[in-house]
Amino acid sequence: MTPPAATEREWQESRKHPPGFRARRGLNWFTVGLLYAAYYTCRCNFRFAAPGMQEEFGFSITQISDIWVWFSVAYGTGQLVNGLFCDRIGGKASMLLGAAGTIAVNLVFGFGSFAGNFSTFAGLWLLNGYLQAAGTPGMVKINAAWFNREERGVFSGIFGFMIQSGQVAISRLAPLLLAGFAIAAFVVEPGRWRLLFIVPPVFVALVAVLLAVFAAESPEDAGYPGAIHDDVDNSSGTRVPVLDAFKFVFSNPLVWFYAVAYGATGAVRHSSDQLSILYFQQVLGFNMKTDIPAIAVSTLALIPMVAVAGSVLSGWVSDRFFRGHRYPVAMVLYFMESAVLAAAAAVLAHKLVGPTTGGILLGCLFLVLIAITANSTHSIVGAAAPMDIGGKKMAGFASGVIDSFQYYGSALSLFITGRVLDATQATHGWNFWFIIMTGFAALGGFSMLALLLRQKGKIAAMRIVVASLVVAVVATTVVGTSNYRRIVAENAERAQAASLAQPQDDATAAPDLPALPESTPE
Amino acid sequence: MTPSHADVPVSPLQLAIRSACISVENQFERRINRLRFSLSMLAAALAFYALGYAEVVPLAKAPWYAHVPLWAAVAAVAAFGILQIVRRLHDLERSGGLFWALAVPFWAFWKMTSLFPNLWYVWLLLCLWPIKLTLALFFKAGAEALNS
Repeated sequence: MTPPAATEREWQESRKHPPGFRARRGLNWFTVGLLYAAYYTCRCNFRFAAPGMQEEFGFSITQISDIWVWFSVAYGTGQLVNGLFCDRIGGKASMLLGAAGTIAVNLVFGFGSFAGNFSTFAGLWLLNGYLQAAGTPGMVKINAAWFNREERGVFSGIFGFMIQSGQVAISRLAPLLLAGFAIAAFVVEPGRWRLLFIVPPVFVALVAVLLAVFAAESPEDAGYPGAIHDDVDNSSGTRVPVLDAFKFVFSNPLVWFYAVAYGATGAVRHSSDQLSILYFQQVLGFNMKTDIPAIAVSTLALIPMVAVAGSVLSGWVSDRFFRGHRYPVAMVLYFMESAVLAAAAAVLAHKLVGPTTGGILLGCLFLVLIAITANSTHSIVGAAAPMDIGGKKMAGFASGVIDSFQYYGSALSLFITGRVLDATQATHGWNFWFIIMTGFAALGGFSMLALLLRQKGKIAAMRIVVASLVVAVVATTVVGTSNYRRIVAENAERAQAASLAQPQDDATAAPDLPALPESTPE
Repeated sequence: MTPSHADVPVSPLQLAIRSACISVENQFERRINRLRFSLSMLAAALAFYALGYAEVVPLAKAPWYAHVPLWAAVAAVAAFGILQIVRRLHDLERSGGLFWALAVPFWAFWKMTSLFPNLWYVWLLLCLWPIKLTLALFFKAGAEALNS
């Protein structure tokens, strides 16, 4: 595959930099990315605490999902608000403020949850969601200033790598903390899930200090004026009034196509991330509370690594062969993702996944494949596209708007999944987990297809795709809601019948019990 | 190119970081031939072996802080090895960034197959290109005079 001459020329131009620039950018990216990775340790710790919280407080899957739903809603809204402020105060300040906030909330969660109930946890995690939302716009804004358009695809892969390294860190740290340990006379018993909210904030604090010292907001601040070309006019500086950013981003149709697709990414990515621990426990039969098996630890650590490879490759392909356009690559990835998810649902329906060697292998393999596709779209749609649209000036808010949809998608997906799994688990196991994710992945693919048609000037075809998508979503919602209500009613009837039958069963099953007075013969 | 950021004063710390970055980048810009590369890799391998031996034999029962100088030495040898690989890639007229294309598949696919040791040949298959590139580093003639 040979790129056209113009693409090749732009590609070569974008790679010429002044002496020392690449090393300086690497250092900048490293500190910014490391803080973003550390943010993830204060977010993904929750999923490891879920089994312990279920045991201690008796939470259902719906309640565990709902805590993440609250986080997602706050995170999405925080992205919108913080994205605007980030363009005003700068990316570095935004990231440092978010770090201070998430440290405080995690410590309160860890120390304060002794008096906890559902509302306490949901409230604290909602607050954490809002504060964590300062991270992405800050990181994207700083990096938009440091990368040319033709370099941003690969950067977005690196962005994916930093996220994943945060996930790897917590995937490694959590089993160590949950297994219990002793340092001199200080002994921690196994299963103390509260430590998951006390140890990671320490890492965030250390990395925040590194960022404050080493990171520069833009190449100009680091002594490299004019090193980066930008499609957006920055003659009046890269910090803009809130209203200008609002008008620019909201009136750009590209933002909305990417936002819908990113909603689909969030729906799949967060559903597979947050519920994977419960999936390991309930479908694959692992003990995820105190003695997490090596295969689960390895899969959770491996997922990020292969996801990074997919992210970097897809970013590079979009830079190299599509002149920095992300939607063609994203479209293919979304359709691949829906195919993988549909296959997983089919395999699970045939009971090929379960606590056997082959079943565990298949179960873990599907999680890995889902992670590759979901994280590749996450990188190129969530990190590269906002920089392309907003440039140095408004990348913060563009990223905020697009990323907010990721979390609204996540909230919607987990809201539905938690309820559907609670209703259907007895009869269908975890089948609907994959089915729901398949629908969202297809939504992302068609949204990118519509954008592709629009960019090629095929407006009528684009309208047909959008209209079909709307009809499909409405029809699925109506039919799905009606079926869900029917299943819940049937479950309630079944439970009622079982509770009525229980005393009779007890009486027949226990003949040695003393007979009731009225039935005693005179 | 659009007009860029307005002029901003650069702090002394940022200027010092820029100087350090220029000197690091200069180190990576150089080239080495296949003979020097092979000898450097041999030296790095011997150093790794010696450090590994020290880790498991004399320091086996030492407290963790006694291992810290050893870890620093491992990091230094790794940095030396990476530097040689990048210089050799430049000698072959390839981008130094290809170091990642070597390291990531070797490591990531090894992690995958170590879960299922019977599938070792999958690792071999997935790492075909990195293996080919590694062989080129050792044996293919480059731009330096000694190569030809």
